[in-house]
Amino acid sequence: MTANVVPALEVRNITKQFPGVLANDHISFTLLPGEIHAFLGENGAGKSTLMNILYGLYDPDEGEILINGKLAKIKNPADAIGLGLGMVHQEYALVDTLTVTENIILGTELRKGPVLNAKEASQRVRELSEQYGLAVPPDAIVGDLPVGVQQRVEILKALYRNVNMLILDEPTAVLTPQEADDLFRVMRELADKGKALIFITHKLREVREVADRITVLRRGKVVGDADPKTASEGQLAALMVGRDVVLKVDKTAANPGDVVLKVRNLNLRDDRGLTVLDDVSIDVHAGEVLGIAGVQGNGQTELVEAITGLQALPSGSIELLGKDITNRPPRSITEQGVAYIPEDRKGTGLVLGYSIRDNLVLSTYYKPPFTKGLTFNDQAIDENAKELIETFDVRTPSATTTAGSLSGGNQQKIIVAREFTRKNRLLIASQPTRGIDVGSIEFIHNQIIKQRDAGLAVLLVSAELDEVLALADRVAVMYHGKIVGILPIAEATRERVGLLMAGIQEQANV
Amino acid sequence: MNKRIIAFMMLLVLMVPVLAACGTETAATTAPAATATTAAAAPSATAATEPTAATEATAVATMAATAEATTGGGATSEIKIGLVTDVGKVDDGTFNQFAFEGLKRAETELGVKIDYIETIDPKDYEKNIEQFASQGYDLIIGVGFLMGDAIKAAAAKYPDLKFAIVDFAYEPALANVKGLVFSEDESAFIAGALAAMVSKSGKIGAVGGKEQVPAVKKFVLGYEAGAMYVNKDIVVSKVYIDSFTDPTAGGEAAKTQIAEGADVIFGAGGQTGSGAIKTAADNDVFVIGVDQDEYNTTFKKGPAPKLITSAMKRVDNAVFDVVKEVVDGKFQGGVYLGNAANGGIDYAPFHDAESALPADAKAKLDEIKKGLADGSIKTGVTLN
Amino acid sequence: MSNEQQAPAETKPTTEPKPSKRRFGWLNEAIVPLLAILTAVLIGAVIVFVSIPSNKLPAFDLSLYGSRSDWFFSTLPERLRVTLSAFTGLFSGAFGDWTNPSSIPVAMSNTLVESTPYILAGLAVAVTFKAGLFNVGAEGQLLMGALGSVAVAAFMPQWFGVASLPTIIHLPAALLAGVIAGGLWGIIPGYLRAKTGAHEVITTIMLNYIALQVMDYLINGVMKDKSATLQRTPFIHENAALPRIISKATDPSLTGGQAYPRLFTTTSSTWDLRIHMGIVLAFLMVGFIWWLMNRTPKGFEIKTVGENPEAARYAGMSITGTVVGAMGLSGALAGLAGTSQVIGLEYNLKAVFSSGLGFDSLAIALLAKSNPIAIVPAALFWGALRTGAGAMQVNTGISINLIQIIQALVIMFIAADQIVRWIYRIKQAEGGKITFNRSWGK
Repeated sequence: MTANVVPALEVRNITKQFPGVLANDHISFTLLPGEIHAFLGENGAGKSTLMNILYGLYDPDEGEILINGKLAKIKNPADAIGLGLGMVHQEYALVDTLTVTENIILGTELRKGPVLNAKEASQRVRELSEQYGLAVPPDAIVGDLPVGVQQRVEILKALYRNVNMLILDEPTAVLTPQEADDLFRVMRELADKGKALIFITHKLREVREVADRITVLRRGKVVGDADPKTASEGQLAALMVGRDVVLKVDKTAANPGDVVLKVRNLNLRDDRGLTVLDDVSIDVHAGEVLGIAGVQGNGQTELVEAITGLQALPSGSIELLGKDITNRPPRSITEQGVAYIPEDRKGTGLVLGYSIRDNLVLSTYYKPPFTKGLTFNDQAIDENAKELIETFDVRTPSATTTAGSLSGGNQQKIIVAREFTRKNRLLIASQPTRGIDVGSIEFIHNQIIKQRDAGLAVLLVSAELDEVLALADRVAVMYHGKIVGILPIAEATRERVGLLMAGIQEQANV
Repeated sequence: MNKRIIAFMMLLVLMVPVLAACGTETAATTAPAATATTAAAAPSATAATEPTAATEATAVATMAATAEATTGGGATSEIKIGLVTDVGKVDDGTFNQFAFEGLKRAETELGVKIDYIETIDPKDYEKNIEQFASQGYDLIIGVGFLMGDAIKAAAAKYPDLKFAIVDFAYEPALANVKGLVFSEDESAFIAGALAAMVSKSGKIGAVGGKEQVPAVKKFVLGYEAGAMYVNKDIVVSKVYIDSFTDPTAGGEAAKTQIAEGADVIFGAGGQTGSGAIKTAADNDVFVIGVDQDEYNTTFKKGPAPKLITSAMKRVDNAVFDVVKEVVDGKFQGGVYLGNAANGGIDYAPFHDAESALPADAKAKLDEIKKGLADGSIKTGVTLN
Repeated sequence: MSNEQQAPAETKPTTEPKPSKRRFGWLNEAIVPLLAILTAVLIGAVIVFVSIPSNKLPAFDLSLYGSRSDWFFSTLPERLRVTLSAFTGLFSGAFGDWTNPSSIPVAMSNTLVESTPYILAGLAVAVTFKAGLFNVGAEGQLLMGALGSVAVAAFMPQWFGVASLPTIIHLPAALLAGVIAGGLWGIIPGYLRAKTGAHEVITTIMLNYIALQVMDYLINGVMKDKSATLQRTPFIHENAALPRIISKATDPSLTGGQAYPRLFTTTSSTWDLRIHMGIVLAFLMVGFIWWLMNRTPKGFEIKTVGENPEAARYAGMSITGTVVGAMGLSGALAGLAGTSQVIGLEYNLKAVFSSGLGFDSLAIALLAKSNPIAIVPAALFWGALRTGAGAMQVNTGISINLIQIIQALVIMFIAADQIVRWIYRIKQAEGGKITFNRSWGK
């Protein structure tokens, strides 16, 4: 970092207030050409708000943005791109049915009169992809490409628009560890060619691997800068959360009992006839956590929904404590002792427009004591809410607050509270800590282990490999709808699981 | 910037009721009253015979507007007539408009005060009639046979008020209701005669609406009788379509008749009939309209070289006559039958088709009309 | 993204806003509809102001007025007066002329009579809105209800070969027939939706046509009163009629020889009212639906399926059962609306029955934001506009279409509530939505 280099981007005192929240509180930083600047922070720390301001999606209340030393007014994404600032979102903005080239040039078509100059465009895409080591098939249909390649298309899209700054928002969330490594290589390449990169993440390991400089955000404020070469993960975590964090889940060895869940030969195809579940068979024992690792979209969702009765199955069988529950209605399965934390907290687990109180009886409202005769027993429902809010430490102004107005962590605690307090034999947790704060993660992890120790069978599905490795007693890996390996936790190293996740089986199945 | 304009507009709008309130108050004081009088006087200067609508409306409109009431009071006769239209408007080209025109003539010539309510929904008949009845209107006129029950009920509830209903007659008659019905057969008889005069093929056609409706049948049969009066060998093709609102079906029926050789088509069935004559006119044969002069409605004031006449029911004359009876104190419950004798039926002018017709057509038709009026010619149409 | 904007987990309970929000919660909910009405009425006033029919104003004459605009300005006081009298007319038509107290009962009764089917059909639509369904079929369900009830009310004694049946049997049977007929007409699209995914908007529209044609066919066929010139059924049997509340004795010669019941008999024209027990049924239904939606597990299921079907399925609720049930209930309510019109007000079924009641009910449910209690004022507003329209036209000669313009504007402002919020600078209601309050007024 030389002092006389003009920063590609300089942000001074950006402040953004949302009702009840100061999302960005006088944030200042600089971004130099050729550097990878990582922003580390929990969900809710204000990273996305900051980036949305830079990209012209929000207006800051205060503060200024300088690009190449000049004051810039960014009113919308087109301004941002015009000023050389591109962004790759968590959700890709690609049209599945178009080709890679078409996607890249969309909106900036080179024209020869009214005719699209496809040849020239294709040529430029090729040049760019060679220049930055971003291998893509220019004429392939985007919908057919793996996620990692789609991400490259997104990056190329930005480069095609001649940006010299690129914001990558949680780019590794949907990648296998190997794909992530590949992305880091590309990022390094871009930086070496003089591009400035902003890398948003909450994964400590990644920043230390790839970043040149780290800025940690907490509750809308910059709480510190760190040098990735010297800072330890523990130090970064402490900065992020504001206190010392226990990174490992404290648990004793499992004490497995009888088989609680027996899944045999599940097969399923989706609407397009593609295989979603491929002969899946697993057992989950009482008192153990079976973790299912795998990149998202490899059949985990369907497996869990099949077990809980939400997905009809053409073949295969599911037994709970020796009783067949295949294709039973969800309520019947729940009543036989299955607790389920769904992966989509907001879309499935909660009714966001309902109060916390109502959400806490979402699956038990019809039973005594909540319903007496024909009508609800308000007193019982209120008491239930009061008790669970206290026991599960849900931070809320009142029980009648809508679930939608709570933070992700507190929303998840409502689901956990509701599900864990029934009489259960099997617990299914799907992405139980996605997008929530570290405090809530710790709390929920401990609750899961507590349930295990109480003799429940636990099936954990998570796209976060670290989470699976921290909680599971056995690790099953899914790839293309198939269980490609089941490892005891002792043998489940990051590398072995990572290869299995990528569908590379030989070395792992020793 | 925009916001300000809109906000300002809103503010203006907010002021309206306030200003309006001021207006009413100050009307009683001298200065603005002067404007009001000049304003009111202006039209009477141009149309001296007309007691102005504005002043009269004012009188009933608000009791509060005392200033107007005094100016208007002198010119206004005490007789108030209320018109309740069938679903539609007073300018929709149907009986609603015809009845309203008769009423307007009564306003001008007889100096009665007129008001009207346009019905938006059949279930409002009763309520709209009530609106006039409760304010003691002298005569309340309902348009259309659909209002039969509603007028009957109101007549029973308000035995002191007078009622009239277009196209409906009560059996037995009610003491305070006059049913305004028409000899459709006579009207169509004249039209049929003209059809026979112009037909070269010796074949003519009639497209009717619902056969169950007596008026439709009388039109069609009267048309046939009139044609045969002129040419007893003429072939009349008659079609009834079970709808008043299906112009396409009407058009298809007309096409069939044309294919069979008919060269004059009479349409008697609401939109269905209008569809028939429009299609027929497009296919270059002569056509005859019904109820009112369809030159003004279906053919939108021309040019319509194929429309030779329309078999008209002069609802306006009937309405005027019944109002006149009320004014003259001669009103009696029962039936007004509009026929050739009292000008309740007629045939429409030839308009653009005049040159295509025999030169003596008009004379012949008037002769037939006279014959119908004095009873020397009978249509011979009876419904059983 | 929304995560980022939410309060961090550490947000401490804030006690301050809670009580006040509770007390005036309904006002918060009602403010947008009320302002939508206000705005629509004001725009209506402007329309009246500029479009006063020429016969109510001095005519434009170049020799008297220098120009069009002079004419316009010289007629300003007149215009203002007519505009005002349009609205006083509207009011006195709907609620009576308060300078003449004897006109009040009839006007009020007319408004209530007009509002009765609006309340019931509005509730019907509100129930489906709550379930996340868009029932455009209230019209058809209402027709089927009317048809079912008139069949029983007019012909049931015939089926048993008797002259009459006791009220205790005949009236409930007629009510039930209407409710069941409407309910079935609602269950069909509900079932199609739940089982085959056929969208209820399409199926209910189609069923409306079928209902209309079935009614037309029956009224022109087996159910036609052969002695009547109008296309209508015979008058219903007096023992199947919902009693009027207070009126003069009916004249049997007007009603096919039937002497229809009333609770109180009067000889005064002031109190000869059309209001009937249908309004009481409507209020009972409002109470019932409120209770069902707020106090019972079934109502909870309907609301949950409407709010978030995924969550409802996850929570073990039956989507099929709930959708079919909500549509059936909706149909039953619409059927009851038709029934009360036939056996409470008209005493027979005409071929021109209804026309649009079921569609107005969509607007009413929107205006009431599907709140069963709020349906009452919304329906009354609609009924008052319709009732007052006649007097408005008599007073000013303004086209009765003004009423429809006002109604349409109200719905437009409800649907696009951002417009109203923007005009009056009202913040977005709470409920997890992003509040862009800062961007206003810049």
